[in-house]
Amino acid sequence: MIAVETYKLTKAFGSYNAVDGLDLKVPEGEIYGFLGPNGAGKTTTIKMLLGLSKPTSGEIKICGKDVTFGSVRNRIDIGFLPDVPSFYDWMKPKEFLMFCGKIFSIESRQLNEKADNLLELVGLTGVNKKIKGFSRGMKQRLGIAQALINNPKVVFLDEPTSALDPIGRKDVMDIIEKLSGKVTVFFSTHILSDVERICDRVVIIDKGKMLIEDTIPNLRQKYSSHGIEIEAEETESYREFLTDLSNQKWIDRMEKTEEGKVKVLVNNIKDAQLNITRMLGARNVELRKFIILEPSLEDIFLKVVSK
Amino acid sequence: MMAGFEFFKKEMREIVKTQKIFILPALFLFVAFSSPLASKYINEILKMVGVDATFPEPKFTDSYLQFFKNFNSMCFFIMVLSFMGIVVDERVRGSMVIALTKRLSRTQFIFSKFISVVLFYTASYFVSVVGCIYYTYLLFPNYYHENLFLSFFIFWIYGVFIISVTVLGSTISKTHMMSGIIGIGALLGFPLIAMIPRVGKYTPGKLSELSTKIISGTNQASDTIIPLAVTAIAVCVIMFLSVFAFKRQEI
Repeated sequence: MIAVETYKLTKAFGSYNAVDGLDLKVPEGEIYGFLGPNGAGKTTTIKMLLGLSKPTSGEIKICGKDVTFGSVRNRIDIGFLPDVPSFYDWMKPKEFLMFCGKIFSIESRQLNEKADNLLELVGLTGVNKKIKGFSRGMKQRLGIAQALINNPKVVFLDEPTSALDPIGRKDVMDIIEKLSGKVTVFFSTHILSDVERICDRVVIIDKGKMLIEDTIPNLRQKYSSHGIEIEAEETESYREFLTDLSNQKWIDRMEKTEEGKVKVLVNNIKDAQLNITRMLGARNVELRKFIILEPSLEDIFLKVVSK
Repeated sequence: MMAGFEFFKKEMREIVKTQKIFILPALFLFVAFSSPLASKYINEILKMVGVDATFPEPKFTDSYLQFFKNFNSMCFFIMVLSFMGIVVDERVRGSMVIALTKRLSRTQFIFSKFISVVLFYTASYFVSVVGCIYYTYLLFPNYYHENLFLSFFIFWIYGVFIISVTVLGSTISKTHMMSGIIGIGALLGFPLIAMIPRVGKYTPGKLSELSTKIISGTNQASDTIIPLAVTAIAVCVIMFLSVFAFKRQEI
């Protein structure tokens, strides 16, 4: 089943299209990475998906139901965490979760249990101080808890780690990872390592347009630059080997990164693997490292965005 | 419906937790107690500060006239300042987004805020009215006037009108300051509108003036009917406009 679906979703501000004919299909239960550089239209898209902003044109469905601007009809199916969440600072964390749950008319006993479970999930059990005294990381974790209070089918997380230090980021990512398979997570970010770690599928957008959408393994395959990193003792035989290597047909590019270390981009990885090992043997090169390079999501992202 | 009620409860608790619970009632009570005292001892006060002037022997009605005058200049001003951020603050801070992505409609959001402020104002006003009447009773030989309760009632309605304008100002503003300018502007502007010949006497601003004039005898109780009705309708229209404007806003 499709959890989030958009059809030709467009948002124009005057003559500028912040979101331009976006077609999305987010399968149920997946952690879906919504990637794009700053100003790509990620937050604008999420606001339209939540019914907080009115699309200029296009359609949105969440769990099969149409989303219309300002309507409360879909709210039971969704949870939302903004990039910098703001709460009622005079409340304590459990009090805030109880307040959120009561807005959904969740029965008190069930809500109490749910709030305790969520506080445990986000590591805030026993924290009994006012939200005013919370760190950014704690606020973000409470934000995740409030987004889950109604057992939503889809949770929208808008750049949940962008304002956090590395420890806070790790804590939040660990929590999101725990949601895998339980709820559909629509995860907007520009931090690629976060996406690489937890997302099943990603879409990359820029200037409001979808550039590519696929699973991370498929993207790696499609955008693989077939790189090999070689490191050896900087000897005469190694230099001769490098000269030989640069004349091979299957070499696209060679780049010396450090003393004794080269990064080689090849157009045929199998030929390269066989020939390089043979050539190294023939020149008696004392090899330190031989690594087949996996393209990082960052490489793919830069490639796709700069196309 | 439940969502609106829960949000209303949150608003009431917020009034308590953010110290507003002390500020307004304290000010209202100060006006309630100081007005009869100032009216009764005006000549003594003037003598103490070295002013060589004597006012006629004070009457109990002066106590109420002083109350309305002080309330109009101080209490409404502070009330507007206290609540001018009621909507815009949530927008600027971002807490509104979390509430509005739950099962809370925009109509419920606005009305919860309006009703909570009206209730808080009503309770504070009621206490100050009781205080003012009690002090008048203690200080003067008489305390009752046939238009006394009507006078307090129309003044209360005027306060509700001011609250509705404050909510509208806060809804349509992008900043706290802009909201304040609208609220204070309305507070100063409506009495001026009431001075416009022929139509002014039917406007909400006239109510604050009538509350004193029906006690001093310049106007009859029947003169309040049209401005009362106009003000009640204006409150409804302003709240409708607040909801209408809020529903069109992208958050």
